[in-house]
Amino acid sequence: MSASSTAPGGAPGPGGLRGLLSAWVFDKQVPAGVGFLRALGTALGVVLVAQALTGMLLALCYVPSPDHAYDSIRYLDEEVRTTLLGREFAVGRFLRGFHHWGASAVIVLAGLHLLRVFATGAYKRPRALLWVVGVAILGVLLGFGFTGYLLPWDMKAFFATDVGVNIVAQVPRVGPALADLLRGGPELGAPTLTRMFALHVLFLPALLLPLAGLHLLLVHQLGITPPGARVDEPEVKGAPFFPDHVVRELLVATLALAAIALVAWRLGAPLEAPANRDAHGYEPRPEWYFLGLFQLLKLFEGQSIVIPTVIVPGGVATLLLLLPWLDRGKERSPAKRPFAMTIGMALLAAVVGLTAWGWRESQVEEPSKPPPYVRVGDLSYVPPSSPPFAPPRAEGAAGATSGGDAAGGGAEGSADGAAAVVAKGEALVASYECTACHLLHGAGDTSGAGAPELTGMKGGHDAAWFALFLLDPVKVRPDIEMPSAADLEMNDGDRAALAAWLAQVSAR
Amino acid sequence: MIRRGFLATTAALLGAAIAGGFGLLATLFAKATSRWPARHATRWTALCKLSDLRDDAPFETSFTFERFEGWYREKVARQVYVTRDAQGAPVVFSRTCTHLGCPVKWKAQSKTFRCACHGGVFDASGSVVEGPPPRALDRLPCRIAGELIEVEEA
Repeated sequence: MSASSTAPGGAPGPGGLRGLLSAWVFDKQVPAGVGFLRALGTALGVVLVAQALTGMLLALCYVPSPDHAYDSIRYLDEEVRTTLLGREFAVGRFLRGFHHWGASAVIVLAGLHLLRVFATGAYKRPRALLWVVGVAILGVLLGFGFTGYLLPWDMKAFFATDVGVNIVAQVPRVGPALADLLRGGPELGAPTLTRMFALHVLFLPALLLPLAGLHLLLVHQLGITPPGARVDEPEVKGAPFFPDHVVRELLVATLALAAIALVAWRLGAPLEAPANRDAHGYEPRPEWYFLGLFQLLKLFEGQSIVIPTVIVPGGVATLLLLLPWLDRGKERSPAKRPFAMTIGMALLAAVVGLTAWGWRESQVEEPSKPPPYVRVGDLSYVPPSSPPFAPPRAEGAAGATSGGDAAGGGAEGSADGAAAVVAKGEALVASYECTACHLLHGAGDTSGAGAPELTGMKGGHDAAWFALFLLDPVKVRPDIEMPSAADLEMNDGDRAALAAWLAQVSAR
Repeated sequence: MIRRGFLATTAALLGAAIAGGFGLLATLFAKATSRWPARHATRWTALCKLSDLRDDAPFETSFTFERFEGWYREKVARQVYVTRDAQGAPVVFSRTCTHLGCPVKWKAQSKTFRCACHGGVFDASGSVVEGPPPRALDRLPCRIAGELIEVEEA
């Protein structure tokens, strides 16, 4: 059945590199009727290689230590720039964006690949081991997502990881010890960061490589499952692997890479304020692929917490691993496996539903989410109960100064809203004497201060970020010297107006 | 056969596009990370008093400045020699030999800077007298600010 080491005619193939290429690529056969759905696994492999490459490059500029992790990430985002075709290109920001969104693409492709294999019954004999290895790879991929999360050392990284490790701590008996092992101590801290980094770049790749190698080898030896064939039917190969199927695989891979690149180029990767334990009312949100589990956690409390933390994830994992032995039917076609398909659909619907539910709740709570959680000086600063301003920019930055005690009132109409924000911002720049250190439209005395021009700031920050930054700049950027809002006796209204203006006149 | 050729070409082009894209990305990244950020890189630092200067007698002193080495804020100390040129203007010499980077030392008897490593010799104006150095000692930008001499680390 296997044609791995023999030419199509059955005669022994040539040896060496030529033989290898012949067996693995040029003279390989696949079953007739194999389409684009069978190209998802290769696309996943290509995206994983892309993740490895971008990760290796990012590691050139990353320090897994709380005192420099955030700085090194910010350096990547804002200062690793070059020119491409005569235009400035923030290659560091793009690379980090690619790695961030690439992680999502990995989960999407792995999920789709798993669904395809499930729906076509490809996990059945003789491919049970191939399926089990695949499920193990999925577990490793989720591990990559989880361990990579802490590395930027921003608020989201810190608290999402905190919640994640606390989930581990819920496991009966071994949970607390396991959580301490993951954290390198009783609380999240510097040892946690080095651990997550080491797991992410050394341990997990060391697990993934042999698993992926075995998966590939088994796919090659067992071949692609003929569409619709029963388990007891002989598997017939009637179509060339190269170039027909290779083109399909590369097309899907290219499409996935292009989509990741587009999103990375447009959005970069998110970066919140530096991690700070004393977060007032900060609500951590996990990455979208953990939202389902997160939502499940909310549904159970008290003793029954083992249900979402242990029983459900463990049950799903066991179900997946044992699937080839639980479903021993001879049919592969989805239409002839109503029971398996129903169970699969129900599970998929549960995952999608929980994720969507978690997503919607996180969106609903969004407006009240970012209270100023940066502490100012002597702890005398009390964050306001309501957001100091509505997020501007979305609707022409109108209403940016809606709340507060700013003199002159807020901008009303959206038509001249932008102009009003500018006028207000420049008036505040004058009254707070920002140009003692900064330039404004190239004017001002900046001797020795090295503070940047106020218009055209890089980094793509929004008004919420600037508002937080102005509250206590050194907290957000430990590498600079700049007075806090408290030092300047700046009220919240003025701070909001300045933030709105800064965001509006930032570089796009 | 035409179809096979077309598909094979397509496969080759797609593979080349993916590989080329990553090659380009890695090259751009390598280029962008091969230098330090420009911010805070240039600062005037007080070095010594104007009245400290003497003719033909460079004296050794040092100054510290801060710079960003990538993301890392580092305080760096620089050893320099300060003297006056024929017109009386202050001159700040880098102590780094222009040959292979060993520190040079002022010898008062011979009125020369000597490099112990490979025998480079420079006169009081920094010009090469003998030995392998390819060019005169480097001069750091300096300026007079009132009673002080300030130096810039570029």
